[in-house]
Amino acid sequence: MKLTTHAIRSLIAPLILIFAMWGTAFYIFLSDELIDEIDDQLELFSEQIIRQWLAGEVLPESNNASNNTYYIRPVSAEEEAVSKGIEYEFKNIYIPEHLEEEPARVMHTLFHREDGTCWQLTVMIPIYERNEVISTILTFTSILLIAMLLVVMAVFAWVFKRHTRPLYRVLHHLDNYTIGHKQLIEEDTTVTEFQHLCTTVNAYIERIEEAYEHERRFIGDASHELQTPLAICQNRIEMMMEDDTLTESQLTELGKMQQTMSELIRLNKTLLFLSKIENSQFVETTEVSINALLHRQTDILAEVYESKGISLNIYDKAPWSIQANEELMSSLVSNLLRNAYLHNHPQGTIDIYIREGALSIANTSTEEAIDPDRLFDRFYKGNHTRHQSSGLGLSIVKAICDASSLRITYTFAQDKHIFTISR
Amino acid sequence: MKILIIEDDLSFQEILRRSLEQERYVVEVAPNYRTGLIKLSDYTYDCILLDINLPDGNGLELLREFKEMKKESSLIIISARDSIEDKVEGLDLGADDYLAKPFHLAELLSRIKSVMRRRQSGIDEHITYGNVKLHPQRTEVWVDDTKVELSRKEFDILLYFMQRPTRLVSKSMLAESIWGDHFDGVDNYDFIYAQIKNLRKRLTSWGASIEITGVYGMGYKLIDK
Repeated sequence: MKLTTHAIRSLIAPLILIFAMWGTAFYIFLSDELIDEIDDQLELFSEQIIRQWLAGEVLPESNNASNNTYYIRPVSAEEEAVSKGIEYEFKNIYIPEHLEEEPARVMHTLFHREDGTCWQLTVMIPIYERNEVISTILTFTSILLIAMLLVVMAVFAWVFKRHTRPLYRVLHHLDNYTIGHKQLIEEDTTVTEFQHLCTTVNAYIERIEEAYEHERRFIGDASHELQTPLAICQNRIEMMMEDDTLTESQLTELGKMQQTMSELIRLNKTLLFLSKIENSQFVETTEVSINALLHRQTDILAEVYESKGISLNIYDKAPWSIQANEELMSSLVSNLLRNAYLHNHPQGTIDIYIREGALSIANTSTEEAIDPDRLFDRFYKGNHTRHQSSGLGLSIVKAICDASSLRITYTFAQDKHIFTISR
Repeated sequence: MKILIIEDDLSFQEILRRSLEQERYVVEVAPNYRTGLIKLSDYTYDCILLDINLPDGNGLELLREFKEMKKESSLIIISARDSIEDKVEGLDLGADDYLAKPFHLAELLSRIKSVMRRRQSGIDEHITYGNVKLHPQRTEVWVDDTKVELSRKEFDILLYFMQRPTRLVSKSMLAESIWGDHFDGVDNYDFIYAQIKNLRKRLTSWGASIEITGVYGMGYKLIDK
């Protein structure tokens, strides 16, 4: 869930609660106020009637278009004893004009005449108008509060988004960040927390880059430093082999040593090459024809692997030339082809398709589909150790593709391993 | 023939010296820039092997100084750096050859012979062993005074052997130099055997005095019968 949604969600419940309480309080206050007002009217009205009645003046008509009604009745002494003097109540009364009962506010007042008899005046004011007012107020208040709620949400969302923009910028930056392409975040925010975040993230990027650079240099430097000791070792073996007094077994042993040395030297060279690719040391580009490169390489490989009896089919669907470093392209094609020969079984097939912008190499193999996530890892050899593969060939292919803006995909279909290079 | 080795790694220097002395060269060594410069200005050598990474200076700088002395010596750079840029820079400065470490001693010896031949005979260099004469530039082979025909691959193999006669050439060394990286990971050297077999047949049919002999199943040697 997004942070904004999260914040709005947790804001909604308390806001609704507060607004509801607020509305309720407002409603109660307002209706009390209205009742008070009516009670005041009733009091005035009854005072006037009592005064007039006691003075024997003409009393107002019971109904003078205001629907106010009253009556006076004598009260017995027992009744007087339990009465509080003035009492208010709500009651439905019959209004002759409306021909029906309507809610009304009723006031009972006890008073004494000069002769000491106790009388009760009951005054009634219909309150259906007041109820209408209250329900209108209630509707408007509800509408107002809901509208307010929405406005508050909208304003909050806008303000929140605005203020968290630096956060999203940092996240976006981190999403796009790939190791080895150092790019720091610009700090154009005045918020202390975000400034702190930017500084911290930048510090981490610096540290990661430094470690990465260090590791990258280390492999290159280590391979480079190994060159001379490897040369010495190899040459000492060669010197020894020149000795004519050696027996066959000694010479064979030396020969095996020499072969292992050669493998070691090749491995080291490959690592050095890989490190050079990753350090972008192959910058010069020329127009390279993939078709020509492929035919040249297959000629040599077909010769080297003649004994395997592999049938090779090349389908030049279209010429494909790319602007790239020739040495890298040559190594790319050579590694892919070697891979197809090396992991093939005797009498297997290799099918090569060249189209504009894509090269596919499909080979048969005794091996099952390979885990595509690990395929390009350095020294990944799958489940077999049968051949002397260094396990670096496909890492080189991947590194070259990355360095030359090419895409490499691997698929396994119809018992064939298919590698496709495309633009 | 006098050769100067300017190389700071003493063990490597010793190997090079011993190997060259076996070939009856007179060898002198310099372990650093300073000594190298003194020897270069004081004496004259037929060939100089120069390492680029020296403890007290850059070999390329030494090469520049040497070129200003206008001496008639061949110079081969031996360096742990093998990028094309490094090679081009070294050759542009006037080195006759550039050999990246690690290399085979046999390779070094044939390069030394090659640069010295070039210096002596100009462009038209050729290698002779027994009654066989080989022109690397023209890719021609002559037996006695008859020109013979052979395939490009066979020519490359013969050239490789002619450059290092009587020396043991292991199958992996041969494969590496003729087929480059392509044979990386190959577990069977049949393809070499097939080529050698053809070449042997040809040498016999031409009446050549040289032959390729097997050495305990691990390599070959070119010898004069």
